[in-house]
Amino acid sequence: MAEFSINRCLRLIRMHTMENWKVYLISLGLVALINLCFAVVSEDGSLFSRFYPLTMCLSGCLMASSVYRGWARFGRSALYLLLPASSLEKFIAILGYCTLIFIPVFTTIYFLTGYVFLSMYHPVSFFEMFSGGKNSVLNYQVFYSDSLLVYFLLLPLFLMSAARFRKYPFPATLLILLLLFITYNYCQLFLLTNFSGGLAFGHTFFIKYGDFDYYQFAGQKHFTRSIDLVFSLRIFNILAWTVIGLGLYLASFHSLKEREL
Amino acid sequence: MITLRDVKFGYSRKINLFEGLNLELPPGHIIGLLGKNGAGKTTLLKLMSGLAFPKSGVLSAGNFIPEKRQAGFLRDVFFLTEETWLPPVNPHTLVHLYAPFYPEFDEGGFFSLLKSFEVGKEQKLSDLSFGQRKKALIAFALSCNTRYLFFDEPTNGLDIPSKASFRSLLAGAFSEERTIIISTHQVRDLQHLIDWALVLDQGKVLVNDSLNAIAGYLSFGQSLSAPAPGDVIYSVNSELGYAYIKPNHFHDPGNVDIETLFNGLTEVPEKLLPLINRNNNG
Repeated sequence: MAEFSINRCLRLIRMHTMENWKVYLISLGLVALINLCFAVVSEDGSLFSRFYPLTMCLSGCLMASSVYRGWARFGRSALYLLLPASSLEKFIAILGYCTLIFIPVFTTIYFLTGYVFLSMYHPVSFFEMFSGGKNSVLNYQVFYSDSLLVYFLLLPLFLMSAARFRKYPFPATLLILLLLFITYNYCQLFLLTNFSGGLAFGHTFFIKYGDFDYYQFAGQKHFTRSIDLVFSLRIFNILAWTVIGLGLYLASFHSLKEREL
Repeated sequence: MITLRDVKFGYSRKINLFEGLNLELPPGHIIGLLGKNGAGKTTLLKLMSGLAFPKSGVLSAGNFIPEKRQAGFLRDVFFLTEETWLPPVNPHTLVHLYAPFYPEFDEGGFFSLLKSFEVGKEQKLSDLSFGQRKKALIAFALSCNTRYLFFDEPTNGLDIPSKASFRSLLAGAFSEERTIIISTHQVRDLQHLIDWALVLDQGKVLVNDSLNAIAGYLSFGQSLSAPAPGDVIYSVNSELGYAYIKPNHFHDPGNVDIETLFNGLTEVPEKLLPLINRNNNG
């Protein structure tokens, strides 16, 4: 039975914050700097709103890649691994850090600095940016919930690589993801050209929560079609992604638990 | 008691550093872990602390299996590595952040140890020199009051007064329940502190015995001129003349010169080991 104490988790989070607050402050400063660039070129809040998911995912994954930084330094990693808390507590603390703390803090800083910088260059009201107008943040709600799901799926991958790789876990994971993406698309292309009688050549399929979307690229043209999945397939799809997600989190927990020096 | 039964370990799949390693280390001793470079000293400490996992065999520390890294075990172990790292905080914050994980932590003791090592209370620990960082970490390790205390080359980087302080502090930290293991090449620094010798060579245990027992069957001495061959098993030219080892036929009480013992074991193991093993077996 794995040991778990919420107090130890909170202590770990506090320790992590105290040890890394400068790095995180600098990172948030960089986010503010990017926002300043957006504010200069954007006339309304649309740039902030559109780039938020990408910036959030990238920053979150970058942070996840650096949570165990120091594997290459024996003294540091030994102190961390031998800290009297179970591997589960250490993992939950890191997970809490990358989600419950990171997402609200990042989002607040992102939009707050975005609004401040934007209002310096363009007359834009707080109401317009965050609730009303056509470029308001609220128009991107679905986009944001999609990106959160992507983040939650990517997070365990970056945590896993952070536990496994001694050096450069972030670029290594990006490279692995790129290779997986290319392989996935190559396999898809192979299957479609060989098993659909050539009809589906050039199609790219995406299975989302309930819909079965496909994009057809024909020359310069681009068509999107969305077909509703039957109920049982919807359930299967949701279950499959849930199992994949849970499997990834379990694998990243084991990467930390089985980490040797 | 730390027990190893048929432990096999290697950093690669094909080559094993330890194979069929059997060992029992009783509490209440300050154990000197000796061996040449690459003998497996640090690896053994890693295995015993749970930083590395045996490929097969059983390694236990009391009721715990270190490899499981249970919080209950980790509360009772501190491994001071040769390479020191401390977070970018001052000692007060260090205590605030790390001490709650160790239920037996002695905060007053920690600050008094820092004082005796002349490490400032307000200094940021990561900005300290290597030696100062090591002293701060030694102070922290001793204050954790853990049952198992492992040191890897603790005196490396310490100045002469600090080495003396370390010796007296460690002697003060000794208790019947504690197992203190010190891996070191600086045997002379700790000669009078160590009361148990664990000598490794190429992943094998050459000696695992108390110095009292070793002194019961080996006699160590110094002479200005080369000792007459006769009874002498091993002799070496030292700065004070000749250090030699003879069999202790009458089991007279005496001191063990750990450095000479180690040198003898590495140079003439075929002469010394049968004597030690015969006495151990019978």
